[in-house]
Amino acid sequence: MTKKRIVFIYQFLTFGGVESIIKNRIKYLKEYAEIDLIFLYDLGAKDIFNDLPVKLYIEKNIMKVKDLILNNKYDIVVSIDTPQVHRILKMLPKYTEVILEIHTGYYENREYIREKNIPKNTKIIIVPSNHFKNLIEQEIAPLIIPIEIVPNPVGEDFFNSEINFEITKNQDVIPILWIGRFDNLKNWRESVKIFSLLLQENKYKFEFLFIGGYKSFNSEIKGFLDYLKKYKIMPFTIWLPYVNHQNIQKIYRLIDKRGGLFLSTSKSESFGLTVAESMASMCPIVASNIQAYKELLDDGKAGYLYELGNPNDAKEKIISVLENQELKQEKVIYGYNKANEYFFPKKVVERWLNILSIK
Amino acid sequence: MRKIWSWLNRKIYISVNIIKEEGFLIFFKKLHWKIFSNFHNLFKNLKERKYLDKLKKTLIKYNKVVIIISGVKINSYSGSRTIWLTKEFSKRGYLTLFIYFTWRKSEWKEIGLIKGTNIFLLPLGLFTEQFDFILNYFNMISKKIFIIEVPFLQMEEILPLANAINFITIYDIKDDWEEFNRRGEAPWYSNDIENFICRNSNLIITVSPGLKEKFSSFNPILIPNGFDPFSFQNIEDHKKNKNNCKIIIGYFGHLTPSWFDWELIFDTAKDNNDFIFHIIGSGASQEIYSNLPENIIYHGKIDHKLLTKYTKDWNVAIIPFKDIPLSKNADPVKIYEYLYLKLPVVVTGIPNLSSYPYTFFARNKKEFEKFIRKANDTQIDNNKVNEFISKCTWEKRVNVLEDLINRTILLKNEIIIPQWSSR
Repeated sequence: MTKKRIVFIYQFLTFGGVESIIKNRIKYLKEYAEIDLIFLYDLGAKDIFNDLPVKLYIEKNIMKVKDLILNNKYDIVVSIDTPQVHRILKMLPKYTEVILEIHTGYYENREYIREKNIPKNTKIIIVPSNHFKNLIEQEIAPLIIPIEIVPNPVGEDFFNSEINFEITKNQDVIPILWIGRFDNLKNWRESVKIFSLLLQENKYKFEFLFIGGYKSFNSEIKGFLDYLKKYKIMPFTIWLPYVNHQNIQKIYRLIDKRGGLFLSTSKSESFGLTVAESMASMCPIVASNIQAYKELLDDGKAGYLYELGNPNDAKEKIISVLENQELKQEKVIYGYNKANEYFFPKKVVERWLNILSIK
Repeated sequence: MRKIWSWLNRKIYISVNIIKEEGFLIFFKKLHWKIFSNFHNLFKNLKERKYLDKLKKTLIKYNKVVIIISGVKINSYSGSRTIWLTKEFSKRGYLTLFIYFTWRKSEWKEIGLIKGTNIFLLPLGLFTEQFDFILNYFNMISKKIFIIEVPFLQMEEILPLANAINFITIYDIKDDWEEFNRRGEAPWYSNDIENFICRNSNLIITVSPGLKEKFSSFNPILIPNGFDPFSFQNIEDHKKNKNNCKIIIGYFGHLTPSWFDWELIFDTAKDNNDFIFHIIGSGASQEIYSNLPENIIYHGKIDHKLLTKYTKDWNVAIIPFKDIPLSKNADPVKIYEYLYLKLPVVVTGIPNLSSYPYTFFARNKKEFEKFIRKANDTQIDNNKVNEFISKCTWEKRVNVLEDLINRTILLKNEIIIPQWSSR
């Protein structure tokens, strides 16, 4: 069987979630397809695909993108939240299948859906979760295009990472991990408020680890640092603007090994990749009770859910994790099994291929 | 039109959220900052850019680099730890980017490579304005070290970025900044920032057992101060001035008001006519200089290389620091230099120095006077001093530091999170 030629198109090449999803898919997709990637803008993350057998194009000129697609005679063109190319996708020959993937949890970035800027020749829309499918169905109505769910894959490393060194001192300091962009949707301010409340607990000593903010606007960084000071958590904070994606899984493991947990305060997510990664790494989770996390954590079976906007509730849930080791372990194992069953890259890719009738 | 409307909508959405979360004041502050920072970027000083281009070009020749954040400028008078570390790294072939503090922009005069060295000078203000560009210049360099010698506020932004770009980040606790601040110096100091720096550095080193204890939760490694045997000219043996019965007592170094005990010196000089004090350095108030008694001779600032011209006539060296927490945690560079110059030393305020050879620790004025006389009568055994002092050169100190850095590089790949590797 000849391999299909597939191209993924995405706006910005960053160190974000979409790039991780593409990376994790490629490893298994390459058996069935030749993969090319087109990004409109490189924001400094060009090297992340170096170790993969893909052709990478950075091209902001839409007409040149069109030429690229036509010259390379792709069988399948997958546009991921990149409405800029939709007008050229409409013009593609019939043999090219057009697939749209919608991953953005940012309401304003889904304007193109609500404006019905969808190429007429779109075969399928793919979304990463059930609740997001419902949301997109509402936003896209009255258009009728089949919407399928393919969960996001979690890198294999997360499922079997090992820590082969001893952490010697300060075992009594409990680390709480938060990962994300410093923007309103990720709701980092709420995490600061939660951390501030935790510091008032005399029974435990905490340390807060923020990962995010690389290439953020200066005003966002200033806002973040000011907030840490305002809530008096700065002396207890470790801030890593960027961590190599290969190392993130080690961090989840470390957090678990030191008795800590992962906190997510998002106001909205299409899937919740960091929570899924945490599940695969067997790191305990406390997350806001948004639809995405309810679905991902099976209504709290795989982690604790707190009421979004209620830092006190989050604090109590965190203390529960620390005080109820058996229940914590139960949830962690449930989460791991679920991640293994649904988010392991091979299984995700199989589902993706089945939907596209490639395999 | 639709695009503008969508952009406007997004901005309103963000603004409303900021107002909701942080209030009007922060919102207007951010708005102001956003507008004016953009203007500022438009009119960046071209001259400054020229030097940054020069730095970029200089970098090509190097495969290892150290950035040192310093509170002092490099000059021939000052012998602070920061400067000695800088010189030692430069000798070892590191491009040493020496970032020095100034109070005003008008003091941004020394910028560029110092002739015959690997030291590149850059004012902190300029570095702070452009740090994201500058740190990214070093992306391709494999061995890169970032040393904070003073916990300036700006480090809250710069240090995490240095970590992100894979610098080995080091906080060198060389002074008790909290105590300085308590005594009215280092007005910029913030305990929160210092703790943040500790928590976010790969490696913490310190100069004294007191500071090691104070920061014990961060597990600092003790690397005391040292001396450079090649930094002095024409070292001559000390001659006991038998012709008169005066005791020549000397001090060189900064006359930091917080810890230098002028009262002790004045009172001792007044009560002991056979003592002659020679004071070299700067930093005291005009009032002190104008009221010096006859047997206290003030020389002002003297080039470090020329110090031996003065010390050759001294009988005893002193470190007269006040008995306060600030002094207790100090490790003066001069103790190693005095001993190298074979001078017995009388110290106040720093009890942990009492274990050093030919060093007398005095708890009060009476003991100070007594130990000066005792030190004057002491015959120095050169072998004994050499055995001690040979381990205290800057070369040896930086050997230890480089070894730690190399080990941290190995660990950093494993552990990623600053501080967790050393705890």
